[in-house]
Amino acid sequence: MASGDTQAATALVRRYQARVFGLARTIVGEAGLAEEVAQETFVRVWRHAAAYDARRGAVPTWLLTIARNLAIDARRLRRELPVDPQALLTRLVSAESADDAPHDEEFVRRALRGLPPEQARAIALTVFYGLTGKEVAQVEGIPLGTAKTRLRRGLARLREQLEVNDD
Amino acid sequence: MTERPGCEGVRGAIPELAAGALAGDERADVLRHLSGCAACRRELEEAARLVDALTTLAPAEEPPAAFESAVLARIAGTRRRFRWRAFRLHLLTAALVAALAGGAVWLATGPDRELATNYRRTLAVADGRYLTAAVLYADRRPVGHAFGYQGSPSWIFLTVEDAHEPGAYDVVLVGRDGVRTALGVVTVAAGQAGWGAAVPMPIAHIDRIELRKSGIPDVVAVFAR
Repeated sequence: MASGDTQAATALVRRYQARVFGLARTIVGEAGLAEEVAQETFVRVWRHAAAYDARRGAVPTWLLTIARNLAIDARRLRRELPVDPQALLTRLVSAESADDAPHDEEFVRRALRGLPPEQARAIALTVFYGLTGKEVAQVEGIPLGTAKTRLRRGLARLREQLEVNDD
Repeated sequence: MTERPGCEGVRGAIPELAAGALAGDERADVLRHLSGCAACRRELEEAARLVDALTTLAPAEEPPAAFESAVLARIAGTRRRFRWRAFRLHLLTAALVAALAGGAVWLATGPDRELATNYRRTLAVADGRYLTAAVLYADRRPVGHAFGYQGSPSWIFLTVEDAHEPGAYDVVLVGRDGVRTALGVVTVAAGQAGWGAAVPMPIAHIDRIELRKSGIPDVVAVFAR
């Protein structure tokens, strides 16, 4: 990719388009908007390819981070998009891992599934919709302090569970 | 773990910062605290790793049939623009080479040993081991320089001379292990900025320095190794 090779760009798009589009669809919902976001993701990756060091070996993480940020920006511009935390969480925990998914993806899914639902919802809203603690509090109808506590405790618990899996 | 004043409040905001949800004054306050608190930076790195892991949970879904060709057409357009930029850069380089040609002989036979002695003396003043530099790129266009000093403490200094986009950029160090460390905020005005900070890792462990406005690296420098 960094060499400007069109064949490499084609291979990259073919390999990751389903994951990038799926992530964009999860965040923005609408197929048309998700396609715009996914296209822009690959164009941005191309523009910044010179800065990417292949030895780091984490192309999917880089790609998905760009897609997530663009999709969240798109959501912020389209305030009428629905916010349904339970539907979002169901989509995340009920999905099946893709064949080329990272090895630990299923561990992460299981760990998220094992959280108290209110903590998992708060995390999903912040990670996938980019909501602040204050916005999570509004969506869930809870005080700000409670929203922040759910986020922090939820992440801490996820971390513990994933560390147990690492051992 | 050493707790500095303000750590408790900052840690309440770390999940939002790691997810890129924090904005405005609160984000600036948290980043300011992080620039001086290694314990909170470690907490942020852990949270950022979890956010990355959670992001992979979105189910894959095939895009519409024409997606691939549409992306490749857009990339081809982008590449044509890059070639034009590169061409202009070559013209500028050629002009500089012509202007400097008269001094080339002097450079080739220059007092290299004196230069090396001066360099060693400069490093010795502050017990430094080496000084390195890299070009800062925005969209593959050079916009400034990053300097890295390996010493006690080690530090980086950024000079931005020709950036298109004004505004506040988060300075993020990406280690060779992939760990991201937020260092602070640099403000670019009229295309220019100068900014420096001590860094919490050896210069040789830095994979790259990113300046970000929207979560995506806008300006990047990579030290040679």
